[in-house]
Amino acid sequence: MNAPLSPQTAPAATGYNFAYLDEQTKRMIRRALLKAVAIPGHQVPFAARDMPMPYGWGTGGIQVTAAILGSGDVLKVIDQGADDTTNAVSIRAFFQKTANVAVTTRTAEATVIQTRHRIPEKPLKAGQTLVFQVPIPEPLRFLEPRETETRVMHALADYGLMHVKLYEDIAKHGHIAKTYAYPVEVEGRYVMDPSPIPKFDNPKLSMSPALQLFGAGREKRIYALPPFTRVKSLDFEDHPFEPTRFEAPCALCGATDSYLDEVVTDDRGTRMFVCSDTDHCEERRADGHRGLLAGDDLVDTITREADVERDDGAPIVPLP
Amino acid sequence: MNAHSPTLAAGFVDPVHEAQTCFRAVLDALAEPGTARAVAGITEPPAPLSAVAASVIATLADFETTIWRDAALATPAVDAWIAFHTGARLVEDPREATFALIADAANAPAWDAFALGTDLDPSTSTTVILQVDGFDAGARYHLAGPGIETTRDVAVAGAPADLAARGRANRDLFPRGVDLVLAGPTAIVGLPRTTRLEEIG
Repeated sequence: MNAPLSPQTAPAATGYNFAYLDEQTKRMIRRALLKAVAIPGHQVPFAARDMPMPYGWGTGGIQVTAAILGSGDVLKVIDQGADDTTNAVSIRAFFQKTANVAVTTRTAEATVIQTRHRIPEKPLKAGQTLVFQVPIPEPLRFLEPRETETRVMHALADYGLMHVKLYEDIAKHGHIAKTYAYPVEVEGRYVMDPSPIPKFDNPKLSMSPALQLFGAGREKRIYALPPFTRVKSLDFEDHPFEPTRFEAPCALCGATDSYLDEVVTDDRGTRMFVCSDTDHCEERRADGHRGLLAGDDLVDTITREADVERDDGAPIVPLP
Repeated sequence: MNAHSPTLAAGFVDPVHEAQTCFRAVLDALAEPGTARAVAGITEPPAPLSAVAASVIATLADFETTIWRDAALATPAVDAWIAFHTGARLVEDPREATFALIADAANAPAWDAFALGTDLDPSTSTTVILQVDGFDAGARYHLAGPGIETTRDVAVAGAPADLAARGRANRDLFPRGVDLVLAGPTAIVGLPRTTRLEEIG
């Protein structure tokens, strides 16, 4: 996967405007984006269109990406950190087909990164734009279901209910029992849902050199964090915010500073923990980092045994 | 066609890609206040509408938006150009404007004459496109706020003399307030409502 992707897997589609959306729709989204950047953390309503995929598959993120994308951009798409899962592959193919843009899996090479529920491990740079797919933009939704009320609460900066919720977590569980979509306060004003990224990623939101845009298609909301915006994960003085930590390093690349996915490897409860960011993991392995289950010794053994046992002169091909 | 009708100046040659490039310049300008972002595209709009301001308005305005223009820009040629290339409705009341175009910066109305948005929806405020002389000379300002790592200095020639005071008054309204796009001869500088402005001479 870490090889450069072929520039074009399918011929660019004809009959569509560049990047699928019509210019009228792009202007509407662009106006919403400019106001979102001017009011960091505030949810700006926009007239989300039907996209050629169901809600829940990233229609908000796709519309934001389509509105900002230019022919010179290099696009990376990740789904839970991985470049090679269905959602990421489909969205990447969609923009290859409708915008004919260059694509990559390498974080450092991308100018626009559309993401579902992760922020890449490699620190982002100035000039990069991160587009989040957001299912539920309203952080107060499960505390107050009425949109009319939550909008007033945001207008008044009345976030007492959110603090009560976090306090009740501490009273019941001894800690704030929220591991993803952990609410943040932006520049001391708006409380914002950072989309369902693990709270491990929350510190990366703050003072990032990259521009961060959030699109919720079904909910028809756009919000943004300009570069170098102060973003604070909500907490209490005696119960400070703590990002998730892992006890073991990545089983493939040995990284101790990345977010890990649990992978069940058989039906007897054996499991391994590997980097959720596939590009990060592959780059580390390419640099020679090895985890406990990287499998090199296995490949060597099989190759060596095959070498000894084969006598038909056929070339030896190590397992991938 | 009426032989006396003036020739309408051209808009974007390649509307899709030129508008995208111009939009990214505006997005980056507002995301990183005080940085000058080059804008090209429309070359010869009717005076006194500047090429840069024309590109920005052609990128962002359409029939869903309204435009207020100051007295200097209220000429038949500019009105016809805006109507043809954007389809936006011209309004005389600045409080109804999605966008404001100002060529005569010295006599710009106070920012609170424009739509400021509401506490419920501060995004309904006016975006003011203010034509200035450039960013190489003129009054210097010290900027801070979101989009700026520590502080950033910017020079603006031809801005209203009380730009810093206007910015403070606008900042006090937060989250309401107007957002400013300063249109120079070849580039724009964004001053969103979050930016704190201090004049340093």
